[in-house]
Amino acid sequence: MSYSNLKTVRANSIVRSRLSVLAMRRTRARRAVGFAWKFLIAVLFLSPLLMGLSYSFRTDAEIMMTRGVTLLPRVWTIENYQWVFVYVPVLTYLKNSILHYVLMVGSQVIFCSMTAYAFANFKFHGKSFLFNCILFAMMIPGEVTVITNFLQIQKWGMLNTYIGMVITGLVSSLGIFTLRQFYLSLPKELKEAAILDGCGDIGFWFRIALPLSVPTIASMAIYEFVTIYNRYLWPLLVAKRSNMYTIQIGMDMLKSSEGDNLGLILAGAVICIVPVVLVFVFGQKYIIRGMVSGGVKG
Amino acid sequence: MKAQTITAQRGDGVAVEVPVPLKRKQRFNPAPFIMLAPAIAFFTTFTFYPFIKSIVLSFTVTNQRGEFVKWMGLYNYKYLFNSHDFWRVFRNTFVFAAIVGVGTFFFAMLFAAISSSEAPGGRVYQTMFAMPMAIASAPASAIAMFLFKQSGLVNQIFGTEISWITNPNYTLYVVAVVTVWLRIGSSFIFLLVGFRAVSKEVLESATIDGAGPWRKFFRITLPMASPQVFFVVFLNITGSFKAFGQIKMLTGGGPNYSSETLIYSIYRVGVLGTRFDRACAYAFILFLVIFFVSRIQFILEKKVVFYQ
Repeated sequence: MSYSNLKTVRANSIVRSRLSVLAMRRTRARRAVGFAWKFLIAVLFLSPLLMGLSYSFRTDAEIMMTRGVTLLPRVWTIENYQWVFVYVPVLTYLKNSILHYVLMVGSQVIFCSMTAYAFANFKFHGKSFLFNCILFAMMIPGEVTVITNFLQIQKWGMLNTYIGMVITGLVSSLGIFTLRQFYLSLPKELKEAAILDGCGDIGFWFRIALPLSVPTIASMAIYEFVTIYNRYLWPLLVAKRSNMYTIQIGMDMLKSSEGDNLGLILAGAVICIVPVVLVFVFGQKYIIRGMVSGGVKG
Repeated sequence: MKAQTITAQRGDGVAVEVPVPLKRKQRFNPAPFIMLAPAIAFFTTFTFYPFIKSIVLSFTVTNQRGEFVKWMGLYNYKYLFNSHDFWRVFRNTFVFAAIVGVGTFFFAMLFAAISSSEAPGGRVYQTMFAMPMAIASAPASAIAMFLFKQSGLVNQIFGTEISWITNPNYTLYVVAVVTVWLRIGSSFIFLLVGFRAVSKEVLESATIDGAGPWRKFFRITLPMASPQVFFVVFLNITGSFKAFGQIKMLTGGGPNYSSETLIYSIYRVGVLGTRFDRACAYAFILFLVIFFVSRIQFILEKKVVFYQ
C-alpha cells in the first residue's frame, strides 16, 4: 500500500508540489494512526502486567477499599517493596538465580561447542550413531525423567546444592545443534592453514573456532538467560532450604505464606520480572537470533 | 617415488593420465572421542539412564526413597486405567493442549499480521507483543491470582462474582488462559519471521491483480509461511504438555483434579505423595503422548507444509 501511495505522491510532485505536501501529510497522519491502534492493542495485551505494576505501588488500604478498577494509585507508595525485602532474602534469591545461570551457561558453552565441533569437523567411526543418540535425547523431554533424576540426585546427596540444581542442564542439545551449524559454515581452508602452522585439532578448536563463534555463543547465552532464570520445576525439587531458593521459587513461597497481602505479592512478582525483562528488551536481537537459528527450517 | 597414474576420460572425450592420490594411512584419531565424551556421558546419565529406569520402575513397587522393592507387572497401569481421576487428568491434558495450541496461534497470528509490514515505531509494539516470553510462570501466576480471585479485577471489570480459581468448572480454562498469554510472545516471533519472509513481489503483484488485504493474507502470506505456522501450532501443543508452574501455583491441580494435567500428576503422585512407581507410570504415559503427537507432526508436515 505504502509503496503505491509513494508512487502517486512522486507523480504528483512533478505536476503540483502543493498537492504532494498535502498527500505527504496524509500518509504521515495515516502512519500515526496505524502506530496508535497497534500500540493500543499491545498495551491491552500487556495490561495484566501493567495493572500488576500499578497495584504494587498502592497501599493495602487502597487495594482493599477501592471498588472498581483505577489505572493509577491514588497515593504512590513503595512500602510493598520494602516489605518484600524484609520478609524474604530477595538478594540471596537473586544471587542464587545468577549463580545458577552462570554455572549452567558456562558449562553449556564449553561442552556444547566441544561436541558441536567434534560433529562438524571430524570423520570417525560411529559418528552418525552418536549423532542420532543426541537427536534421540532431544526427543525425551526433561519432564519425563524428572522423577528418576530427582531420586538419583537425592541418592547422591545433592539436594540443596548448586551442583544438584544445575546438573541436569549442563549440556543442551539445542546448543549443540546451533553451534554445529556455525562450525559447519567455517571455511575448510582455515583449518588447513592452522594445521600447516602446526596447530592440533583441539588447539584449532580452542584457539580459532571457539573465539570465532563468540557471536553465536553470545546470542545463545542471552537466550539461555531467559530460559534458565525462569526455570521452575527442577529448582523446586532440588532447593529445599530457603537459602538455596532461586528467585522463582522464593516468590512462589512468598505467595503461599503471604497470600492475602496482595500488594506484597505483586511487588514480589515485579521484582522477579524486572531483571529478565531488562535482558529481554536490550538483548532482543540476540534472543530472536538464538530462537530462530535453532528453530524452524524452511 | 613415481606417482601411479590411471587413464581417465576428460569431458571432451580425450584420454588423459591422472595421478592417483597417495593413500594416507588412516591413523586412529582420538580427538573427536575426547571431545564427545562429556556430552555422551551427560546424556547417558541424565537422559537415557533415567528414561529407562523410569520405564522399569513403572512396572514395580518402590519404597519411600524410590528404590526397587518388588515386580508388579502391569499393576500400576491397570490401577491408573481403572481410576476415574486418571481419565479426568488425561482428558484435561488434551483439552488444555487444544486450547493452548489454538488460542496461542490465533493471537500470535493476529499480532504478527498487524506487525508484519515494517512501519516507523514498529519495534515498540513488536517488543511488547514478544514480552511475555521473558516472563516466568511464578510472577505470571501471582498476577493471574490478583486478576482472577473473587474480589479480583476480572470480576470487577465484568461485574461478575465468579470464583475463577476455586470453581472446578473454570480452573482449567483460567490456567489455559495464563498459559496462552505466556506463550504468545515466542509464537509471535516465529510467525513474524515467517510473515516477513514472504516475498514482497508476490504480494505486490497480488495487489495489482486486485486482491484485498484479507485475501492476500489468507491466500498468500499464511500459505507461504506454512512451515512457521505448522511449527508454532505443534510447539504450543507440546509446550502445553510441559506447563507446570502455572498449574501448581494457581490451582494446585484442583479442586478435585479439575485443572490437573499429566505433568502435574507426576509431581503430585511422585514428589508430594512419594509413590515414585506410579509417578513413573504417569511419566511414561506423558512420554507416549508427546511421542505420538510429534509423530503426527512429522507425518502431517510432509503433507501439509509448503517448502519453497
